[in-house]
Amino acid sequence: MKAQYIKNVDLKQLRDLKSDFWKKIQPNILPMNPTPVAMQPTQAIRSEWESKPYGLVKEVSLSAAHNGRFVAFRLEWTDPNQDENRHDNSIFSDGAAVMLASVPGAPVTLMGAPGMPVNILYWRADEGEQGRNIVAEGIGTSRTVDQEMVVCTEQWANNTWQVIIARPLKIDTKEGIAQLSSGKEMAYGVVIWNGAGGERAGIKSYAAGGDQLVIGEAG
Amino acid sequence: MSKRQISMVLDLNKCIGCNTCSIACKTLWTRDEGMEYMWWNTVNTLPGKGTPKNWEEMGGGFRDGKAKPGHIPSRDEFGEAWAFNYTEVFEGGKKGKGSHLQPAGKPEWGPNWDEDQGGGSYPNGYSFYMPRICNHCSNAACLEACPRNAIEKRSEDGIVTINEDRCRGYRFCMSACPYKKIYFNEQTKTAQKCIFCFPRIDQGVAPACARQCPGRLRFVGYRDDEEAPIWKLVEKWKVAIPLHPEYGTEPNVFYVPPLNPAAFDENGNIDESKPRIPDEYLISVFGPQVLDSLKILKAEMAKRKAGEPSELMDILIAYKWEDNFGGFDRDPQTIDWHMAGNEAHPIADDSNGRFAGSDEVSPVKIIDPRANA
Ligand code: SF4
Ligand code: SF4
Repeated sequence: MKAQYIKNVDLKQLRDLKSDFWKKIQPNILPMNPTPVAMQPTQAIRSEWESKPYGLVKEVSLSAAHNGRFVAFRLEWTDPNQDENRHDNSIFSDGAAVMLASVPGAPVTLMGAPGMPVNILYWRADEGEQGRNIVAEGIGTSRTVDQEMVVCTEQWANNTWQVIIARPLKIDTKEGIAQLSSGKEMAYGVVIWNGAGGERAGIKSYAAGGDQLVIGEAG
Repeated sequence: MSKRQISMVLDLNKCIGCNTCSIACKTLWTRDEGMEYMWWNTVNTLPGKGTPKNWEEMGGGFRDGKAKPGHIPSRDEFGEAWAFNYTEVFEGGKKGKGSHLQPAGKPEWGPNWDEDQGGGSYPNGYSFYMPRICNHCSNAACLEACPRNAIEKRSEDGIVTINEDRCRGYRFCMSACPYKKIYFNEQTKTAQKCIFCFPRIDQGVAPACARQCPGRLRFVGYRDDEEAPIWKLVEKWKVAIPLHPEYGTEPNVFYVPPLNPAAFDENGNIDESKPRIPDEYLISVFGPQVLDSLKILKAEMAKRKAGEPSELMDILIAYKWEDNFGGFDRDPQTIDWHMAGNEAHPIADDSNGRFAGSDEVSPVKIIDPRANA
């Protein structure tokens, strides 16, 4: 899939769910599956979830655009509940993330591997606009590297979440994030957490992008 | 496995249920926003539903070596921190119309809700107090459960702590801990629990709940220190036993079980053949070892009554209070906590300018009667 280059838009417009250009981009519909129980990192999680349903979100729509400086991913999925912060210990927030291979060959499905980081652009309903820029080198290793570069827009209406996750194409850092530029290609994936179903951490829906994400050429 | 393991022994025969320990911990560690409903130290009456309500039925821990699924206690099960109408009572009184102090709303549970209800029926009613903290388990279920490796067992003393920089509030630890000793902080969005007062331990000071206990029933120290009370009570005399050993987490908090008086028969006479607290109940709480422990206690009590010496009784009487603490007997008032905290563990001096030390009532000296004789 392609992150289309859009001329003459600023970050504000990229982040606006109502911007006209979004209507012209054909979204990619990705089927989602629960992350396998066997991949859960602890015994307690495996034994609790082997008999419980999770991965409740079955499909996500993904579009991407960039303006030469910033890239924006637009996600939409059906969720009958808006789970933000209902204040109890067993209430969890909805969340979503776009995963990008930071280096060629980094296994996105396995959240990276030692020396082969994956970059996770992360939104959680209770954290709102402030997204997280996360790097992982394998399951259980994810680490927030900053909370400034990733910004989000969210809206829940008609049983649907619409979320835009944006960040600069390039970020000046030594962390193992994905550095993006026109023409670059990389493996990608999408993760959705349905808070009402107790989904968090590895208990989630996952979609592997079957193809490569291409950053469209400017011009 | 840690190199050494710090531990606490609580003598239930001396607990008066006053909750001074709970307040000691509350004032020291859980006064911040988001921590209102937290009681890292609780004291409940057994038999009873406890804190959180019915925690013994919430699962977690290990059975036959396998993690057992558990339940995350809700805020209602823990009990909210109630808001009281202080202003109305103290300042808003109208002439001829008083206001009673009362919580807002209609709370249906709280951290010591079923105090003194107990079990059994007249004339054989029974109850005892059960103070609880995190057990700083050797096979900690919370630590195993965390997918982010945010829970650590300190190598030097086995204290189990949550690294709040790594914690993302997933709460798997809360379902996994079979003792239900982990709370979720809505403000920081992290899990929090008893830290065995590690900034005090680092300075040779016993935990606040132990030092401030007026009943002197708490012993502190390394499990392998053969000169100190923990080793003597757990390993040598075998009277201190864990709570619910069947949960499989290998707790490092131990209890001297409640001595069990004889029951009354239907005519109101004491029937020495029957215990007041049913053995099955004690076994359900402490495991089968409880009966041996009680036997040893009774035998040593009898010895002492007969004027013979008993090391066990001397330890439990706690003549010299400082001896309860296995070397962690420094007076917190003698420490500059600002300096102490900055050396190694900045948490000792948190952002509220609170210290891990002090605010303590000085203990009354109990004189060994034999020293006067
Ligand atoms: S009592 Fe619970 S929280 Fe404490 S170490 Fe054991 S499993 Fe963890
Ligand atoms: S050891 Fe310290 S932190 Fe733990 S319950 Fe006692 S006073 Fe609270």
